[in-house]
Amino acid sequence: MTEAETEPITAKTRLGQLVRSLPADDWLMIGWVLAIKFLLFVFGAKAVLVLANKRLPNDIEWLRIWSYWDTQHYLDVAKNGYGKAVHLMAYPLYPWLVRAVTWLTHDYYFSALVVSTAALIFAAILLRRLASLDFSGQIAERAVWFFLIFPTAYFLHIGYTESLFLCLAFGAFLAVRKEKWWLGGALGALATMTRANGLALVPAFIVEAIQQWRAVRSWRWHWLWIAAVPLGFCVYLLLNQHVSGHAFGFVDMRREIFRTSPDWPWVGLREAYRNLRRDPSDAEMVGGQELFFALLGLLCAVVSWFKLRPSYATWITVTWLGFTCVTFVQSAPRYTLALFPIFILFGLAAQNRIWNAVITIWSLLFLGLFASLSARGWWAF
Amino acid sequence: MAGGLFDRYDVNETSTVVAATRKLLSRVPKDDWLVVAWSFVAKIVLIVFGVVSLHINNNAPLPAHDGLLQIWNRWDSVQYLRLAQSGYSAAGPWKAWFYPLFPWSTRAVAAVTGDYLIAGFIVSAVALAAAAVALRRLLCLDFSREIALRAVWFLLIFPTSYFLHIAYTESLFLAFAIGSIFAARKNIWWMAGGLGALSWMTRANGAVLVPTLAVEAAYQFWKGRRWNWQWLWICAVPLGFGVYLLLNWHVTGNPFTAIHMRKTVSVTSWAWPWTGIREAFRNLHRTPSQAEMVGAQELYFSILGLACVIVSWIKLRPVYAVWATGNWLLFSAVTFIESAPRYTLLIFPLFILFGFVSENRFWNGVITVWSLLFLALFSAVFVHGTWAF
Repeated sequence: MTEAETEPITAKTRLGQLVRSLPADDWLMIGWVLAIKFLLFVFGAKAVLVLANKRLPNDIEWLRIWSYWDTQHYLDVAKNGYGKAVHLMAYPLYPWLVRAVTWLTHDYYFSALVVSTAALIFAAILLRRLASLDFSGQIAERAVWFFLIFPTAYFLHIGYTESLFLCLAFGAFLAVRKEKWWLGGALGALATMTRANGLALVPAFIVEAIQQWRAVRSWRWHWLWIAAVPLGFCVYLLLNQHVSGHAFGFVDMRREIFRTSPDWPWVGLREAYRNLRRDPSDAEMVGGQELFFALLGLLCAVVSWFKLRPSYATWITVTWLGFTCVTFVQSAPRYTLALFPIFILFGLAAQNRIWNAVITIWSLLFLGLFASLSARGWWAF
Repeated sequence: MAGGLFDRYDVNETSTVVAATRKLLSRVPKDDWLVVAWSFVAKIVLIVFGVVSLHINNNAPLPAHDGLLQIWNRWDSVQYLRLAQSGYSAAGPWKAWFYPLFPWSTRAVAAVTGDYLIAGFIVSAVALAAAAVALRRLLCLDFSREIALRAVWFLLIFPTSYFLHIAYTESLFLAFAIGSIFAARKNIWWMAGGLGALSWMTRANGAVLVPTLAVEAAYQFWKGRRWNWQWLWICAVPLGFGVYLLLNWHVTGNPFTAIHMRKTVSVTSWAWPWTGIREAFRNLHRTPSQAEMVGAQELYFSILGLACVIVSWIKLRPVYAVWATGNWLLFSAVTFIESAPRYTLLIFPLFILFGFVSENRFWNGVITVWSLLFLALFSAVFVHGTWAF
């Protein structure tokens, strides 16, 4: 046999090894992520054509319809670094990764899509594996399904931090559940470098450590890796110091831009309720939907304490408080994506086929509605 | 003391009623209750979705009277409800163009509800529940329970399935048509003929039942090599069309008025299927919105229907293949294809094929996501008041 004849066989074998190295269920998750991304992007383009009566470029440029709102800030930071105070709204890991990938793609926007896609693939696999630790394979699979079709799941596919953050958070949870605390701490630190919500990992991991201590009744030094989680946030504080001369410069920036400040949860919810009196479109978006998703999060937080592991209940509770303890609840439907125990609860509820239908129909119809707004450049959380 | 006796009597009576209800309910298979529940759940979520979509996209409040349902009262629905309320008239532009069974059923229900719009929704709701049950039972004759359930699921979430819930004829027609085929499969041919006649009284597509039932009879003959006089009940199917002709005669003095009207009220006439498909291609050059709705989507669904026709002949019983072929030709063998996405709903063998394909969980996910995303888009366009098939 010549060398040329053996080469393709080797390549084929390697590919086969790669395919076999992942369980079939993980490949299903990868397939779902890519298929939903494709369908969602095609849907977005069709929505722009039909609802906005706007012509789209014939080449791949039509993918840029999703380049609005926060994506612009992330791309600006990726391109130009932290130059202005407004850039401080962006935590650094996502724009830095986009910048790194741009060395290969030479296009910041497409790099953002690549980072989000890769992160979402890992997030889906990790969520399935995490849920499989406590529940059946079918429930775990359904949890990922509901995660991928959630009404605001389009943020997982576009130039936003959600998929990267959730990938790191799921990885951190899985690592501590598998007692690889150093990995949990490191991924947690990367999560806090991606979004502020990463800090919710600290109490969640402490609760997890307590639960593990109760099981074995002996101290484990590796629990101290929890202290590594805030390191990512420290990087963000250093950036603040560098850009604004003040480590907590982001606090003033947020107050100015978002016109919101910390308060009791009922203050923000009362404000959302008051927004129901605005004109119909605003009443629905900044009133009805904000309220609905905030209440859904609260309900699931309560149920989590009865049905799920305490560390998950801690995560959902702290994350929920993070976006509702403000004077003005904003983007609750998007932030609810981070409350991943919701999807496990959905997976449990969907064992009943009627509830499976209800959650699937609700999720996808509203995903269609919100994605069609976002693709047209409207604010949709 | 007396009160105690009375209480005991009351409890006994209640328990008797409960027992009787349970007995009645237990006669219906659980899966039938499941598909009925799905049809109602889909309706409720869709109605809520319609309201939210109207608020956001139109920035408009709900209409004052029957607002929740009124936003779905558009296009043909307006005509059906007008016919239900005022009857057919030679003075109107539509004369007796629309088939009568849906407006007559709506009128009958409105006699109880006092509201024609609510009555239209009730007729569609009951018909859809019946269609879902009939489809599930029909498919259980040939396929597994799971495939049958999934087929019903894909019918209920199809991108144009909002027509099944509102005051349109689709659900009533499907209930009768599927019921007719189911009766034929069960060898209850008098019922197949009767339901077929009702189906042709609901929509012109009822005509396709004649060759469909004839092929089923031929298939049964081929299998058993015995003539069955019951097959002659197929001849009852055109009676529904007979009622339509009589109605035309009564309203306009000519039984064939509606047939002659096709040239004046419709922009389309009979042609080879490729003529209409070529025209849909040309429509891709219109304004972006029109290019998408009367070009691309008409084209996609026509091609989807054609693929279903071809695969049906290979994979399914001939009765389903004939039904798919007849219905596909009815909407595509024209000079200008119009409402193909809506008419594709009637090609129910498509949902059987979806049921097959979705045994693979990946494809189950793909078809579900595609269906519901486009259901969201088309129903948002419809409640907006724009034409959506």
